[in-house]
Amino acid sequence: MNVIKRFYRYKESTVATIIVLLVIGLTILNRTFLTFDNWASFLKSNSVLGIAALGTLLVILTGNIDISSSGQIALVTVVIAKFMLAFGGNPFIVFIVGLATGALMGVVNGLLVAKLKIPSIIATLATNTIINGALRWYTNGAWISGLPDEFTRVGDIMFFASSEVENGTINGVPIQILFMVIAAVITFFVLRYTMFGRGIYALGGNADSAQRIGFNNDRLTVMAFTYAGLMYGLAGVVYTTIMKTVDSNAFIGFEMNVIGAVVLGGVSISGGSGSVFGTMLGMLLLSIIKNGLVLTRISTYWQSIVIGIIILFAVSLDIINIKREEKRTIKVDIVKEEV
Amino acid sequence: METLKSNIQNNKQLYMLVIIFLALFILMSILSPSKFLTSNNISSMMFQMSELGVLAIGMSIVILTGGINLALSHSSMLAAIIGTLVMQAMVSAGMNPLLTILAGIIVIIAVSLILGAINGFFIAYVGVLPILVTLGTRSVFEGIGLNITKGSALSGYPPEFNFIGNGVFLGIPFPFLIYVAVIIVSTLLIQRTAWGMSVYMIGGNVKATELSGINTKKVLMGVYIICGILCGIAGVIMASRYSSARTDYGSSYVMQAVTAAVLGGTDINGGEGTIIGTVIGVAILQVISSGLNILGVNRNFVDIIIGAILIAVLTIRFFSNINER
Amino acid sequence: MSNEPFVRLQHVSKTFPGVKALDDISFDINTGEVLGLVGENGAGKSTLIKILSGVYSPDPGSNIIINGKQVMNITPKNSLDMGIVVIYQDLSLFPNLTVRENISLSKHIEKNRKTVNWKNIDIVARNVLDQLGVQIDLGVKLGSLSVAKQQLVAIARALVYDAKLIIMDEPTSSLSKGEIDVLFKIIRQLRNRGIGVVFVSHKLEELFIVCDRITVLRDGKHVGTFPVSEVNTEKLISLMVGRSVSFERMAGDKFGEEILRVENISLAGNYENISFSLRKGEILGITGLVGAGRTEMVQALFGLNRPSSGSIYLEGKKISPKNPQEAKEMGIAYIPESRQTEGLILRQNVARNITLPIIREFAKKVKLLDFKELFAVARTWISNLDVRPNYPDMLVSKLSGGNQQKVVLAKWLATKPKVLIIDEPTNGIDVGAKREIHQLLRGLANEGMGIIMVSSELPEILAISDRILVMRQGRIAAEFDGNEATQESIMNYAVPKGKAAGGVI
Repeated sequence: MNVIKRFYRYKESTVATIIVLLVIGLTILNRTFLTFDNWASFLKSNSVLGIAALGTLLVILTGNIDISSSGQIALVTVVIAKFMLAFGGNPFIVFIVGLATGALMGVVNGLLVAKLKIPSIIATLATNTIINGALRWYTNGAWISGLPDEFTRVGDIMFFASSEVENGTINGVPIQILFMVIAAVITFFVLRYTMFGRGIYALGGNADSAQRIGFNNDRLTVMAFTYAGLMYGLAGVVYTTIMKTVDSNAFIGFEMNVIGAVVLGGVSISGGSGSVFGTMLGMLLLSIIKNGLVLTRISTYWQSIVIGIIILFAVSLDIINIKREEKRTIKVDIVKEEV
Repeated sequence: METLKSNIQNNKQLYMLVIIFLALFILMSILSPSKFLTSNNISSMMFQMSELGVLAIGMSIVILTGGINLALSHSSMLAAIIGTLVMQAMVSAGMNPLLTILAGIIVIIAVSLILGAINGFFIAYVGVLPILVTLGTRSVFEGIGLNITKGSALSGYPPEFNFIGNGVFLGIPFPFLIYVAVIIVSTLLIQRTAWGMSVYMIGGNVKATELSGINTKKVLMGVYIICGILCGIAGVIMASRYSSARTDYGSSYVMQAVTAAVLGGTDINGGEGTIIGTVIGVAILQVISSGLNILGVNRNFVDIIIGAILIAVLTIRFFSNINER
Repeated sequence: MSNEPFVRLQHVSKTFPGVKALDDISFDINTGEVLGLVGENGAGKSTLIKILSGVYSPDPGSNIIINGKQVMNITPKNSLDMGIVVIYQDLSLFPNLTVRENISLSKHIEKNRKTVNWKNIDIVARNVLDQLGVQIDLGVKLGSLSVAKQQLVAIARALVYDAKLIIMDEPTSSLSKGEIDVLFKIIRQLRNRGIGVVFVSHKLEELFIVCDRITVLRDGKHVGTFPVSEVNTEKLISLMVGRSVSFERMAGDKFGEEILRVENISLAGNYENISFSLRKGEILGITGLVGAGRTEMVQALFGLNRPSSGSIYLEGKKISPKNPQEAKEMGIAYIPESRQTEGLILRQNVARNITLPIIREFAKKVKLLDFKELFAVARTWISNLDVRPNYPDMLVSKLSGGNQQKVVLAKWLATKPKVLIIDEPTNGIDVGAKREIHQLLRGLANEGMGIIMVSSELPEILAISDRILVMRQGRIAAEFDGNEATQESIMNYAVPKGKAAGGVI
C-alpha cells in the first residue's frame, strides 16, 4: 500500500503505468508487437523524436517553450545534405556541421527571448516560419538524394548483432537507438551534474530567487535554447542516417509530437519540474501508440487525433491537480483553543 | 494634457501604420507601375487579403485576452471539409443548388463554432494555457480532417458556390465585401459593446476583472467561439476560392495572422489593440507579398520576410519601451 | 563576543516620493544578539531591512557602520559578503529542488563552480543541519515540506553564507507552537555561536522569550531600544501605538435595521465559527494581525470562497454567493486590499475602470454602448469623489494612490451596493488622502449603506468604526463598541497568547 503511494508520488509513474497497460493490450491483440525486431524498428524511427524531445525539455524546464524544433531539424538535414554533396560525407565532419547549425539557431532563439524579451512562443513561431520559408525557397520542395555512401553506411550499423542475419530481420540494435541513448545520458548528466543544469531547474522553479542567489537568468535561457539547438542538430543528422535522402517538408507539424512527448513525460509546462527519464517515457508512449495503430491496422490518420487527445487530457489533468492542491493549502493557522 | 496623450499615442501608431502602408504602396507602384498599379492586381490583392483578414481578426480578438490560437487554419479547414461532405451529398441527391450552398455555409459555420467552443472549454473552464490547448486541438482537427479526406482535396460544389470566393459584386470582389462586413461587425462588437469592453479588461488584468463581478470564464469562452465563427467564414471563402477543401490549406495564415495583429499594434500579452490596426497590418502584409511576387521574388521568400517583420516590430517596441522608461 | 556592535545605524533616513519612510534612525545591532524589531504596519521595518540588504539605498547623510567599517554603498552582493542575510517571508527558496540543493547551491555559485559536486552539496547541507540539530530528509523536494521546515532550510542556507547577522521577517507567522519552539531553540543556538539575529514579529509575547533587546519603530522614527527586562507587552504596545497620526473620531449615530447577518461560518484553513451582524448606516471595523483570517472571511461574503458550514443572510434572506458576479447582483461590493493587482486595470482609463462593473447598463440600441452616457456617469463619480486630475480618459496607472483608491471606490459605488466591504482602504496612501477616504466612508454610511472595513491600522479602525471585531487565528477574539475601544485593548486581543507558545526556555 505504502509502496504504491510512494510510486505515484512521481509524475513519471502514471505514464509508466499506461505504457505497461498498452504493452499488455497490444501484445494480446498482436503477437508481433512484443518482439525484439518490432521494438528495434519503431525505436529506430522514433529516435529522432526522442533526441528532439530532450532538447525541448531543457527549454520547457526554464519556463519557456520552443515550437521551432521542426524547422531547425529540417534546416539541419538540408544543410548537411548540401554540405555532403559539396564536400563529401565524412561522418565525423557531418556531425559537427549538423550540431553547429542547430546550436546557431538555438542561440538566435535564446537571444530573442532573453535579451529582447520576446515571448518564447512568438519568437520561436517566427524563427520557425523564417526557416521553413527559407528551406522551401532554397529546395523548392525537392528531395535531396545521392548522399555519399561513406555517410549513409553509418545508418546501417548494428550493435550487439549476432553473426547470423536471418532473412531480412533486423537482429541487433540500430545505431540510431544508441545515439538516442547517448543523448539521453548526456542530457541527464548536464541536468544533474552541471551548474547550468541546476540553474535551469532553479530558474524554472523561482526565477527571482535564482537571480537573487547569483544565477545569470538571461545566460541560462540562451544556453538552454542553444542546447536545444544542439539536440535538434543531432536529430537532423540521425534522421538523415535513417532516410538517406532529405525532404525539407518531412517535419511540418513535428514540433507537436516533440512537445507532446515532453508534456506526456510529466514535465510541467510552467517550468522547473521534469526529467530526462520522464521525457524518454513520453517518447516511448507516443512511439507505442503510433506502432500500435499500425499493428492494429487503424489508419495512420488516427495518429494525430490520438496524440492530440492524449495531450489535451494530460495537460488538463495537470491543471486540475494544481487547482485541487491550491484549494487544500492552509491560509490561516486556526488554533483549537476557544477564546 | 496628460489625459490626451494616451489617445494621441494610440492614434499616432495608427497614422504611422497608414503612412507605412501608403509608402509601401507607392514604392511598389514606382518599382513596377505596369504590373502593381493595375486594377487587375489591386483586385487580386483584395481577393487574397480577405481570407487572411478574417482569420487575423479572429486571432486579434484572442490575442487581446492574452491568448493565441494555433488551430486557426485547421479549424477553418475541418469545418470546410465537413461542409463539403454535406454539399457533395446534396449535389448528388440533386437538390436545389442555392439550398445546398446555404446548408453548406450553415454547416461550416456551425462546425467551426463548435471547434471554437472546444478550445474555449479547455482554456476558460479547465484553465489550460491557450498555446497547449490549441496545439492539441490543431492536431486533433487535422487528424479528423485527414481521416475524412485521406490527405487529398475534397471538391464537388454546385457551380454557384464559386461566386463567394471568386465573384465580383458592383465591381468589388465578393470576398472583400464579406471581409468588410466582418471588419464592421467585429469592430462594433469589440469596441462598442459591453462584452467587447470586458475582453479588453480581461487582457489587462483577469483577476481585477473577475473581482469586478464579470464572468471572465464566459467572456473567454465567447472569445474562442467568435474566433471559431470567423474561422468558419474564412473556411467558406477558402473552399470557394480553391473550389475544394484540404487540411493544409491556409496553414501559413496562422503566422501571418499573428504578425498582422502585432504589426497593427495589438499587444501580444493582451489588453491593447484595435481591429482597424489589424486590418491595416493585413493590408501592409498583402502589399509586401503581392509586390514582392510581382517583382519576381520567390513566394517562399515572402514567408521569411513576414517572420522577420514580426521580430523586427517586437524588437523596435522593446527598445522604444526602454526609452520611455 | 567583541564589544563593538556589528551594525551601527546613524541618522539613517529614507524618503520616497511623498512619504518619509525612515526618519533619522540611530541604533546599534550588537554582535551575536537577538534583537526584536517591532512596529505597526508602515512603521518602517521593511524599509529598514531593505536598506541593510542593499535593496534600497538610504538618503544622503545617513551613516551605516558594519563591522567597524563605514559602508558608503550597500549592494545586495556586498551585503551578503559582509554576512547579512535576510530571510524574507516568502523564503526565496526553490520548491522544485531538494533540500540539500536549496541549502548548498548558493555556495557552489559563490565559488563559481561549473559542475555540481553532489557529495559536497550533501556534506555542506548535512553539516549545517547537524549544527542546527535539525533532522530533515535532505533528498526530498522542498515543496513537500511544511512551512516550518522550509523556514529551517532557509536558516540553514543563511548559515552556508557565513552569516554574521540573520534578519528574519515574520518567521513565525505560519508556524505552529511546537515549530516555534524549535525555531527559538535554533535562534538561541545561533546567538551562542556569535551570530546575530534581527527578529521581526507582530507576536509580541514571542519577543520576550527569545530576544535580548527590542527596538520599537513608529512612523519611521526610532522610539527606543530596550533590554527585554525593562519592558513588557503593555509597555511595548503603548510605545508602538502612540502614533503621532491619529484621526479625529467620526462616529455614526443613526443606524437602521439589520442588513447583513453571518451565522457560524467556517472554512477549514481559513476561518472558524464566525458570527456577526451589520446594520444600515453602520461601519463595522474588522481588525487583527496579518494572517488572522480577516480577508479570507470577508471574501466569503463576496463569493470568493464558500464556507463549509454556517449561513449568511442579506436583508433577512439567506444567500450563498457562488462568485463575485452573483454577489454583485445581490448588492454586495468588495474592494480588495491590493489595489493595483486586483482592484484596477492599470492600463485602462479612469472611465472604463469606473464603469466596468456596470458596463451592461450602457448597452443601448442593438446592444451598442452609449459612450456619451458612460463618460457622463464616470464624470459624475469623478466629481462626487473628487478624483484628481478629473479627466475620465486618463490612464489610472498615472494617478496617485489615493486617487486610484477613489476610482476603485467609485467603481463599486456605481453599482449602488447595499453592503460595501473594503479591505485595507488606505494602504499606502498619504495622510491627507486617508482622511478623505474616511470621510467618504462615513458619508456613505450616513446615507444608509452598511460598511465592513478590514484594516490593520488601529487609528483608522478607531476613527470611523461604530463597532469593532478583533480576529485572531481565524476566529473572532473580541467585539468592541467603537466609542469604547482603545489601541491597547484591541492589541491585547489581537496578539496570540504567547504563554502557550513559548513556555519552554
